[in-house]
Amino acid sequence: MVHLVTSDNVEFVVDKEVVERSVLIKNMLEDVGETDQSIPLANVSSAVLRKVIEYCEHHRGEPLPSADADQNQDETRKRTTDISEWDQKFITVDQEMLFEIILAANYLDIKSLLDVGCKTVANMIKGKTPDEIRRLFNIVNDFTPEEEAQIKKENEWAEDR
Amino acid sequence: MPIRSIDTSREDKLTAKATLISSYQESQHGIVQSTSLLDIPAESLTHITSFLSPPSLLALSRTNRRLNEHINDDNTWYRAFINQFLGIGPENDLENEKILLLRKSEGTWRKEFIMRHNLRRRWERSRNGTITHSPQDTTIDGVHLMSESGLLTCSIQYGVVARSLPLSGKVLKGYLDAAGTGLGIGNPNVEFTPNVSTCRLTSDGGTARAFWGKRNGEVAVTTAARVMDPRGASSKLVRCKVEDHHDGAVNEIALDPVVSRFVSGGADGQVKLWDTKTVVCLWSSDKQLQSLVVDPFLKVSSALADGIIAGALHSGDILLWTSSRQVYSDDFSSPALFARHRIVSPIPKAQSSPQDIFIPKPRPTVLCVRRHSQTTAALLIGYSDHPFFYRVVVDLTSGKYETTAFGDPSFGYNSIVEPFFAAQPDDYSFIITGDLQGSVGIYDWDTPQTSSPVVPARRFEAHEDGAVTALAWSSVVLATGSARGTTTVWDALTLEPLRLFSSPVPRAAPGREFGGVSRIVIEQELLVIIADNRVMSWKVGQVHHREAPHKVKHARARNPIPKGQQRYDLHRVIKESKRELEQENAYARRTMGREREQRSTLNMLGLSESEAIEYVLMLSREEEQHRRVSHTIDEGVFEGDFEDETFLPVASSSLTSHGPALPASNQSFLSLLDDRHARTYPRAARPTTNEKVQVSPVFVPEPMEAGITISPLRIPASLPGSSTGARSLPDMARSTSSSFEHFPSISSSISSSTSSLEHNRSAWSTTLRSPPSSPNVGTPILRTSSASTENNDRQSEEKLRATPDLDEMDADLKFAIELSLAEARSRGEV
Repeated sequence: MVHLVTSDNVEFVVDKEVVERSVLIKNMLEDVGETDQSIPLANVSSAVLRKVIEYCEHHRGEPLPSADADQNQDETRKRTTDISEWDQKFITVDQEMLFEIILAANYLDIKSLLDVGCKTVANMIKGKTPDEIRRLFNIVNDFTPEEEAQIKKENEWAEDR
Repeated sequence: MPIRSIDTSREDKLTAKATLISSYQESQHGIVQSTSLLDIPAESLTHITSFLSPPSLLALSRTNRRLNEHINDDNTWYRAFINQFLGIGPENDLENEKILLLRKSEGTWRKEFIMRHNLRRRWERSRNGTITHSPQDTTIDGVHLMSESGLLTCSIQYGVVARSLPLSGKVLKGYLDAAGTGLGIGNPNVEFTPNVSTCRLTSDGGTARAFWGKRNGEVAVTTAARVMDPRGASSKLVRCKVEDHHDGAVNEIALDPVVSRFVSGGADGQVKLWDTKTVVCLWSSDKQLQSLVVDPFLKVSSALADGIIAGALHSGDILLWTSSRQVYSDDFSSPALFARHRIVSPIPKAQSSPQDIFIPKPRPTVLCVRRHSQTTAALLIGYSDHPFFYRVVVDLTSGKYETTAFGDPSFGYNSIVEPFFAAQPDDYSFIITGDLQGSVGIYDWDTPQTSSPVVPARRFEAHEDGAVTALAWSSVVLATGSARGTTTVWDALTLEPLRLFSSPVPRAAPGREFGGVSRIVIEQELLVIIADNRVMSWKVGQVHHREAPHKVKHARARNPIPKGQQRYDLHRVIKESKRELEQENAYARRTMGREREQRSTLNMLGLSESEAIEYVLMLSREEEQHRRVSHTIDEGVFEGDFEDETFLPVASSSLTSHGPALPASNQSFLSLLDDRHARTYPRAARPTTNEKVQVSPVFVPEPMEAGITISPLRIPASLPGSSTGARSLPDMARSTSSSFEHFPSISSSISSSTSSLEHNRSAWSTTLRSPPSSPNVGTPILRTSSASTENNDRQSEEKLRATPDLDEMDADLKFAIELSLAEARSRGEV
């Protein structure tokens, strides 16, 4: 069992097997060895960690994607933007949570979760106009109209006539 | 500026909203945390954007400065490109990745990605139709695409080159031929050269060249300037001198990147080097002999810029000639300076076993030579009926060579091997193979030399329906053609299927083989598929944008449906249905024929049907008398005639066999004749044997009467009774059988023995013979009636007319006659 303490001082007790999906924690445990001391996760809030642990619990036992995976071609084909059903449901959260999960996954180094998060964001962006994207993510348009026109012009050649 | 002010106000609003949200966040989690897309670290942003397609990336770049900056970074595009085209995840290392199939044509990854994305989309979604035409009457053996508006196709059988426009399907009149008669009017029965054995096509601008090799060893070159100009085209044939001829058929002509030279290999075991313009033989190799027998060259190849000529012999060995001289320079005077190297066949020699003669010997099918390094040359040699192809690296000074096998024997024999050598320094050379199982393998040509066979870098199943027979590759797509005529277009990098083309050859008649795709040419955005004598071309068209609906109309106007194709299909459908109709008519004519014939015979005799019957009866009576005298009946003749003849002979034949012994039989005969199943008579009649007569005399009168009256239509029943009663007629037999158990068996045995016709008429015989014996009935009359009713059930055709009256009309002969006459009339009308 591993003790994790979040940024808002909530302690989680998790199976070692579950938590080792995070490469960060796995490496840490390897360095420290067996210990009862709690691991502080300064960048992760309790709400996010709960989600992350939920994800790790569900994917418990699945083989970790090896770093130097010489994936065969059929597997890589799936690397596009499709997400498994459970993951899809899991990642259906509000935007703030989604980005925080991405950040947490990045910090904890959970590759598959990061992938799911990024794909979800990518799917949100897909096929939208700049205006729609701005509205979706509350992005401020900080271009001057001249700049905007110029960028638009630059991109014109890329449009498939 | 009013616009400006509006903009800023909107910005303000958005900013306000954003801060609101972030402050809400802070209060929620009690920490200061960035949760907007903008605050995602760059690496994660790259991860996100690596899943996006160019349009989305460009849209994103227009939202905000920071995102714009991010997307302007070429690394973003690179990551997105390799993730989406090569399946290399955003987190993966790129160190060892070798992108074998990539031919980068643009300067930046951004441009490359957008270009590929757009092209791929068009290949996949373009709705352009295909255009099929048949420039040749026979199989197309060679093809050369000059431009989008010029396609040369050659047929070796006819020895002509046809000119056509691939995008309209128009075939220009006149062929370039190997006989030197110039452009004719395009009649293949006049303009042909019968002895061509090989042909190569090339073009330079608007000038086309056809290189001919003939069976008599002659080599000739046809040059046609402005070849696609319907009026201005002219062709000129230059033949080689007679003393320069090969001593056997020319097996192969290989064109060289050096335009002014070409190489030929012949069945005489010689390789010759030619000048293109004058067709003068510049150099000729020694004859290759294999234990005193000429070893013909099957394949030749050259890299004259490097002074290398190679030839593959029938025996499997390869010969390589090298020269330090610039063989393409015009002052090529002393050609004997070639050094020769012999490379022993790379195919391991197996111990010969008796089965060997059944196994086809591998023959070289692909030979390709090119300079490998400063001092070495590399040869690619592929064989038919062999699972491997080989790379042979030859040291040009010492003649030493090392061989590397490529292939995977578990996937069967290669059907096609196509090399694609690097044109630019950072490209890779690779070989694409297709095998008989329908899968495609891609091999890295520059694999270091090994002793074990090199396995393909990638392999996928391209066709489930047969061997891969044609391959074409451009930097964007790979096209494969199968032995069943289908062509699939794949993405050149991801190898995902983009498009499927059905066979250009129309549905083959059942039992006929589909023509496989023999060649595919991809030129820019034009795809040309050759199968049999057909050329199918397809041009990648525009794909309309979702957000640009007005362009739809435009695109449609520019890509009209190929009219020729449509009309061709229509004609075919019409022809097919016409043929079907004809067949139907022929069938109807055949079936109706006999009936009409019969009627016409009657007409000719000037008789109505009933008159004819009476006449027949008369005849038969006479004949019976005659028979009584002679006692010899030639039944066989009657039976033979019977089927094809009109009623008259039929009737007479039946009558002859069982004479009109009883006066009452008149009516029965009438009914007999009326009956549609005239053919049943002879059988019924035939078994006239004395034995029977002896057996059943007692019953004769009664059943006979009953038979006649009960079923006027059921002739057989009445007939047997009529004369001697012993006739094998069914009802008779049956009725008698009820009392004498053995009777039916007798009759059946007799009838079967009497003639073979019996068997043909199985319908009757089964009805007749099945023993529906009504056993314990007291009187013969009753029995007969029951039997006949039984019969009625069996014969649905007559049942309708006969059943209701049966019992009441027993004695009413008149009615029976009327019935039968009526029937006769109705029959006549049918």
